[in-house]
Amino acid sequence: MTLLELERVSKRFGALSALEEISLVVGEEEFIAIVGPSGCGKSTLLRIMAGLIPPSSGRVLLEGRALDGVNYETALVFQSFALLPWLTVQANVELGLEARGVPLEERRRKAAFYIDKVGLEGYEEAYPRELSGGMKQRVGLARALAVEPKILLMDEPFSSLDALTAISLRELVLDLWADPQVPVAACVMVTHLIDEAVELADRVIVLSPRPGRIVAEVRIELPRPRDKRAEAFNGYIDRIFSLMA
Amino acid sequence: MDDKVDPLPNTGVNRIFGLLELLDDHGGREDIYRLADELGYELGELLAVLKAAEMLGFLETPGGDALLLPLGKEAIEGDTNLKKAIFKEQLQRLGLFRHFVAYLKKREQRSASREEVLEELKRLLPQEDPEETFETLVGWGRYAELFGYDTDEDRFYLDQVWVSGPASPGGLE
Repeated sequence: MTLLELERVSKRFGALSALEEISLVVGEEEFIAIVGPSGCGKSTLLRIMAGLIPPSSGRVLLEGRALDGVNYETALVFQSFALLPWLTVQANVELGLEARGVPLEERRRKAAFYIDKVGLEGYEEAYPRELSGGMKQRVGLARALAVEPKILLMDEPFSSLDALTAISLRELVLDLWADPQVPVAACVMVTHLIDEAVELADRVIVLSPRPGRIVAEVRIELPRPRDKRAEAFNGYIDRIFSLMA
Repeated sequence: MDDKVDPLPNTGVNRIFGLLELLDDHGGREDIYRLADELGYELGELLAVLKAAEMLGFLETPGGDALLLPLGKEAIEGDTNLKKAIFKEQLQRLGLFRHFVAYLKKREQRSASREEVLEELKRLLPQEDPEETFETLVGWGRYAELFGYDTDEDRFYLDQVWVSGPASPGGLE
C-alpha cells in the first residue's frame, strides 16, 4: 500500500534549483535510503515529505490525499539531535506528544514505553548536557517514535557520531524496525554513506548533484542481518558508487 | 567477584556495544591495529573501549587481537532489555561498582552528593581523574539501572535495592 507519493516535485530557492522532477512512492514496510552528493537536496526532499516546506511545483500525496501543511503522519530524527537543553530526557521525549495535545497521563505512558525501547530507562531525569552523542540520538529516536508516526524520517542520523557509536545506533534502528511493538510502517533515511544505505535499506534512491534528480533506484535484495563483508554487499556499494560518480 | 577497585576506562556504553558488533562482523576476531585503522581511531582511544569491554567480560585481547567472547556475542544478539540485564550483571562483578553499592547502602536514603562521591573517588583512585570516573560511573550505572543521578537535587543514588543475603550474594532485587 502506498503511504506517501511525490509527483514530479521540484523545489527552488530564489534562482537556485534544489530539486527537479522528483517522483517517488513510499510503500508500507519499506525502508528507503536517499543518497547523493552534498548539496543535492536530500534534506530538502525529507522536509517536503514532512510538510515542513512546500514544493515549488508538483504534488505530495499522503495516502492518496494532497498534503497541505505539516505531515502529522511523519516524525523527524535530526543529525544534530535537536534536543532542548533545559529539559530532561523524559520531557524531551514528551515534547512532540505535548505539541499534538496528547493528555498528560498518555504522554507519560508513551514516553516511558519508547524510552524503554531505545534503552534509555534509567536516564529519564538526565539533561542532554549529561549525555554522549549516542545517547542524545537515542532520545531523538524515542521522541520521534513516541508520536507513533506511520513514516519515520531520518536526516543523516548517524553523521554526528563517532564510528563505534554509529555502529551501535544503526543496530538499534534495525532492532526497532524489526520490533512488532513499534508501529512505524515505513522509514526514509537520508545519508551520504553508501555502505550505511546498503546495510539498512530495502531500496536506495540515488540523487544527482544539484539540482537533485533521481538517477536510479536500487533494490537491495539481501536478507537481514546483512553481512558487510559479503561479495554481494560490496557489489551493491560499487554499483551505487558508480551511479553517483 | 572482584573487591579490588580498578580504574574505569572513560568510554561510553554505545562505543562498547559498537565494538562488539564490529568484531562480530569480522568473524569474532581481529587484529587491534586493523580495527583502529578501519575506525579511524587513535590506538589509545580504541584501547579504552577494548579495556572496558574486557573488564565487562565481553572480549579478550590475546596476542594483539581482539576476540569476541560468548557473553559479548549473547549481548549483541539480545534485545535492549537483555543487553541491559547482561550489562548490569557484569557491572556487579566490578570492584568500583560493588564499592559504591556498599557505600550508598550505608547512607541515609541510599544517596550521596556529587562532591561526596568525588571525594570517595579521590581516596580510592588517587591517580585517576575523579570527574571522568564519576562520569563513567553514572553513565554505565544509568544504563544498567543500577545507579541514578539527579542533577537538580545533586543526588547520586542506588536505583535498585541491593540484596546481601546468601541466596543471592551481591545480587539485586
